Amino acid sequence: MIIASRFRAPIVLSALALAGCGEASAPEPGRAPAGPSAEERAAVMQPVNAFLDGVARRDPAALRATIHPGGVAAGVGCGPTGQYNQLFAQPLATYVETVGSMHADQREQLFDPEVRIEGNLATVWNRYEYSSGGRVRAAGYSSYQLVRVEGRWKILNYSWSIRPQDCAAQ
Amino acid sequence: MIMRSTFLALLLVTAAPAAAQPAQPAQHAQHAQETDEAAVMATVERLFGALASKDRAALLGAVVAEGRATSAGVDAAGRPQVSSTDWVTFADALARRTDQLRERLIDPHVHVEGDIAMIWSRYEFEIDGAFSHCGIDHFDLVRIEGRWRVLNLTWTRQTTGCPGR
Repeated sequence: MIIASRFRAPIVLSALALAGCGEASAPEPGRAPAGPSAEERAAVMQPVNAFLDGVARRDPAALRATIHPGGVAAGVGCGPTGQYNQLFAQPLATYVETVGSMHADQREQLFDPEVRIEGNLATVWNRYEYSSGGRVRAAGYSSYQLVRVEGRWKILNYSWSIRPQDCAAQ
Repeated sequence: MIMRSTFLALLLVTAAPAAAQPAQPAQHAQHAQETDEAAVMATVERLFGALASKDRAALLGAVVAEGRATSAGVDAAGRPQVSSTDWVTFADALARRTDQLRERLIDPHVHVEGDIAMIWSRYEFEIDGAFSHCGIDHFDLVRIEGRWRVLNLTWTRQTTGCPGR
């Protein structure tokens, strides 16, 4: 099953950065200007959106450009028989090479990404929905740790959760 | 050196809760959230306790072995420098240290959602009882089989411009 593949094996999700992700760069009306500026947020979200787009297009080269080598991709996901709460972990650099085996109709949408930046470190924390075959098959939260090297933000670590019922539904 | 900039020791979490608490529709949900946050922070405290005592096994018991410890700092010329290591290497280096390390988090911002959590927090770091540096810690945590562990820790480091210093 697709979901099982995503969360327990290096056959991973296809994803699509939707237009809604652009909201990540919008300022928060009425909020104190304590957080990063719209420009700063957009700079951090750029590789995240490019990562999701690269997965959707099953393009390892595009994904390589978005990551910093040395990090991990890790999720709290489903086991081979649909049991919940199995750890998936592999080097992010390995993970991005697996996109060629993904399904073409998968996509992932981020909701309300929270962006925090300090120096050359940033985080994106968001809810996500993962769809395939026209319906939502998984949802949860994901966390991106990014570092800025030579003026460009790169994804270092990527981790996610899934709902228990998404495993049971497989 | 990575270790010089890395090491976090005793955690003293401030009493104040994280600034952004999501609204909860029911009191029991509020309690569940508070319980989860406490469990997440206790895991970080366990990690930092292991750092303070230079206890390799205890440190490895508080982390997911596949995760990473990463310094997102700057070199002597001010250029960004990312130094990443696995937790085993980190623990091995910890066991070789001879100085006294202590860290405290300041106003941690915590998210817990099901079996994943993140903490973004200012920290201050002391070496042999003297202020050394400050920065931001970013923790990724996961709960597997009911037990929270630190997956990734990434941090910034600065010796000047620390608030209140």
